[in-house]
Amino acid sequence: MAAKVITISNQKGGVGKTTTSVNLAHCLALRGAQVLLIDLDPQGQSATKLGMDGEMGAFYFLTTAQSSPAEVVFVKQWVRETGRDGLKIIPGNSMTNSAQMILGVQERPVSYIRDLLKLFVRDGFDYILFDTSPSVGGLQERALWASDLVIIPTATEFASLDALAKTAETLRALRDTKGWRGGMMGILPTFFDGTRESKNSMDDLQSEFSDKVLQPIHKATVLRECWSEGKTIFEHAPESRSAEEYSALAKAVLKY
Amino acid sequence: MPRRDAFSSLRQSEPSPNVPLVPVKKIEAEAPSITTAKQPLDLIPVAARRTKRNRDWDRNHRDEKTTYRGIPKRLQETVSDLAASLNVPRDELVRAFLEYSLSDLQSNRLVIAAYPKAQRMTLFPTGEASNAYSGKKEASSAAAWLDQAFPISGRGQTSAGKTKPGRAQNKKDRWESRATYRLPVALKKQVKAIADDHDVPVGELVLFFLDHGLRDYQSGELRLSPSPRASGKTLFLDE
Ligand SMILES: Nc1ncnc2c1ncn2[C@@H]1O[C@H](COP(=O)(O)OP(=O)(O)OP(=O)(O)O)[C@@H](O)[C@H]1O
Ligand SMILES: [Mg+2]
Repeated sequence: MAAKVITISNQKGGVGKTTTSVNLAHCLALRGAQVLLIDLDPQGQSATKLGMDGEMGAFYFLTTAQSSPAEVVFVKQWVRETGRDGLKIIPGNSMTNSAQMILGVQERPVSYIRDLLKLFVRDGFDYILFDTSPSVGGLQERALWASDLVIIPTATEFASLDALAKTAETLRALRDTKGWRGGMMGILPTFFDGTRESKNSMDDLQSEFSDKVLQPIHKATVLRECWSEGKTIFEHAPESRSAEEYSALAKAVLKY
Repeated sequence: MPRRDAFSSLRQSEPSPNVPLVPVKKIEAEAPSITTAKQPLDLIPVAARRTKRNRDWDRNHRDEKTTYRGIPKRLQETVSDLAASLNVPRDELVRAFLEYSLSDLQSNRLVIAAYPKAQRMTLFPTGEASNAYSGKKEASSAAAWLDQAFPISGRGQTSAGKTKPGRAQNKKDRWESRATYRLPVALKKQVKAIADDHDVPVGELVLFFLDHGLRDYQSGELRLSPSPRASGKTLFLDE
């Protein structure tokens, strides 16, 4: 089976991208998949949410040429064990920003990141997940282009819907002008609560995107607590509704 | 006050004219809208579920799947082991052997000589004395080789008296040793046509071809050079 590349993307900040990346990755691994999570966000929070430190892994992943066996070995040593079966991570840190500049990412072909992934072709990964930063740029674009599936977490509030439209726009442009062959798996409503704004936003989403709206993730304190504990929801509160909701997302991913 | 349209930016932009739109299902319960404005879903590339794609794949590739009867287990295992050692899918190797034998046939380096056996024809390689995969090495005559390798005609045989009880069971086992491969449809048809031409069962011909390919591979006559693309595992499937 070929590795599915999934990018979690939304140019708006704080909508639950990293929370989704980490919990989806862990849930897939718990279901027996081999998963590699790559943190392309200079905030490096994928690692910290797993109780690990941000590191220069993403920087080296992005900037090492892979032209010699020594370089390949070097990049691969940044693939870190997370202490969880089937889940590995290439952590990032603020140097990921420098990678963008050093590379002159905009000068690189749109396939740049997809090409880098060939490094892992024989490593048996079933899923490769990218967590991305809340911005638009060459790196995001190349991560999107590299992916088979894109999940867009969207907070259920008006301001987020506007950002969603922009992200959707990017996907369309990638397909129409850059020959991208992947697709949006779905919009993941997050921070869902009983408020009118939240419900209205859900209605807007559903009437526009129908079956591409995934089952929402409710606003929940347990998800917030996970971070300070350095645990995923499946470790911190496996019986919670949040755990159930992220399981449902993982199940949906398995259908693709 | 009505809610603002959150997706106005999506609706305003037009798709590039020469790119076909991905067809998407609309919610059925909804009344058909008469507005001509583009809906976001029409414009955003969406991923298709695997179940759906698999069905399509099955449909497109169903014809490639083919089962041949009378391919001895030992031969099947030899082929599988060789494929594993070459790091190629088994079916690729089977295909290579069949294509190799076909080209040898065309250049007359391989000759099919079919002999009448009971009610129908059978074949064995000219000059071949034993089949290494039949499980009985002592087979010394072509006829014995045939009996062991191709007991398929058992059903049509009326000379039941000649058959020892123990052998009947053996025959059944070998009759039952079927092999299923995925092969290009054109190749499949070509093999079937040749079998029909010579009036031999197609399984028998496939066995004959596989055996020929294996022998020539083992003697160094046939060289197989796996190309990287033949690997079963790839990150980048171009469907
Ligand atoms: N469903 C939720 N309910 C409550 N809190 C949540 C939920 N999802 C995420 N959070 C919390 O909200 C904050 C932002 O979430 P997260 O870091 O996942 O967003 P992000 O999109 O990755 O942010 P950024 O754009 O900065 O990378 C975190 O403190 C997280 O713990
Ligand atoms: Mg984040």
